[in-house]
Amino acid sequence: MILTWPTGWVGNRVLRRWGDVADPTADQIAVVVRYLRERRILVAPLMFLAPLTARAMPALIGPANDLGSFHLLGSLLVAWLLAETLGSLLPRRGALRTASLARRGWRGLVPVWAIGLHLGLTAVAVAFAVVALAMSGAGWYLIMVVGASSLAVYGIGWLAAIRPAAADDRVDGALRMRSARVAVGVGVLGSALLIGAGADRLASLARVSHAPAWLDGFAPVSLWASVALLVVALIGWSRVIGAPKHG
Amino acid sequence: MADAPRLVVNVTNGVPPWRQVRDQLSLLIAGGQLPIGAQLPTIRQLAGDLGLAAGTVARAYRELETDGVLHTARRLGTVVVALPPGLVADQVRALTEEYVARMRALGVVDIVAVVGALCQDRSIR
Repeated sequence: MILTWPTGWVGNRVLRRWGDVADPTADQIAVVVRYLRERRILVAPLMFLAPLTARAMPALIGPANDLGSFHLLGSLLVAWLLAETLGSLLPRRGALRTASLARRGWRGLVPVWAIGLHLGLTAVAVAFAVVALAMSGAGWYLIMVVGASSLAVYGIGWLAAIRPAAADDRVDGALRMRSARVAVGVGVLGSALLIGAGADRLASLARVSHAPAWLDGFAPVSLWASVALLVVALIGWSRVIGAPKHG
Repeated sequence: MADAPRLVVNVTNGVPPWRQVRDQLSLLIAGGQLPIGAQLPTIRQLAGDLGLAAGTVARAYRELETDGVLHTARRLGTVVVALPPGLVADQVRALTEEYVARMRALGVVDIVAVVGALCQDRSIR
C-alpha cells in the first residue's frame, strides 16, 4: 500500500490514459490523486480480509468444493465492490456543490463487445460448473464464485455510472471509465480462469472408474477449449483495459 | 468534447436549494445552453452529485414541469420541451430596450416604422 501510494505522477498518467487529457492541470491531478487515495484506504482493509476469508472457505464448504486460489479471486472482487459502494456513499462536503447536466450511463464507459465477451465466458464457466455438479454432486461453490464475481463486475460498473461526480467533467469521465473497464477486464480474465477450473474438475471426474463414456471424450475437449478461451480472454482483457479511443 | 453545462448550489446562502436548481435550469434553458429536446440527468444522479435529497431536485423538476418547460416520460426521462415563459418575456423586453436605446442614440425617430419594414422583409428569418 505504501509502495503503490498514488502520487501526482500516477494522477497525471490516469488522466492521460483514461481521459485523453494531454496536459492535465494541477487541480485535475489533485482530484484524481484524492480519489485514488480514498479508494486505496477503503480497499486495503477489505483486501487484507479477502485472503483470510478465502483460507477459511475450505473448512466451511468442505474439501470437495475447494477451489484453491479461486476463492481469493471472488473474495478480492467482492472486496473491491464493497469499497466502491462505500466510496460512492461518501457524503459531499462543502457549502458549494457543483454538478454536470450531462446524463450518465453504461454506454460509452465499456464497449459492448467486452460485455458480450464477459457474458459469453461466464456462461461457459457456469455450463462447465453445472455439468461437474450434475456428475459429482459437488462443485456448487464454483457456480457461487462465478455468480459473485459477475455480481461484483457489474456492480462496480453500475457504481461507476451512478456514483456522484467529480468537479471536473474530464476527470470525472476518466475515473468512471477506468473503474468500469478495469472491472470488466478483470471479470473477463476471471471467467476464463473459472472455465479452466471447471474443465479441470471435469477431467478429474473422467478419471474416476465409474465415469460415463461421453465424459472421456468431453473432458479433453473442455481442457483445450479452456486454453483457447483463456487466450481469447487475454486478448480481450488487454484491449478493454488498453487506451480507449476518444472521439 | 464540449463540457456539459453545470449547476452550482450554495447550501449556506439562505436560498432554498430547490429554488437554486430551478432558477439555474431556467436560465440555462432560456440562454440556449440547454436547448429544447435536451435530456436532463435523472433526479437521483443530480441529487447525488449535488449532495442533496432526491426530493429537493424532484421539487425543482416538478416546478418546471408545471410551467410546461420540462416533460418527463418513462423512456426518454426528463426533457426540455419549452422556454421558461417568464424569462422569455424578460429577455424580449431587455433586447427591445437595448434596441430602442441604440436607435435613439443614432437619431432614429420612427422606430416602429423601421421594425415594421424589417418584419416585411422576407430575407430576414
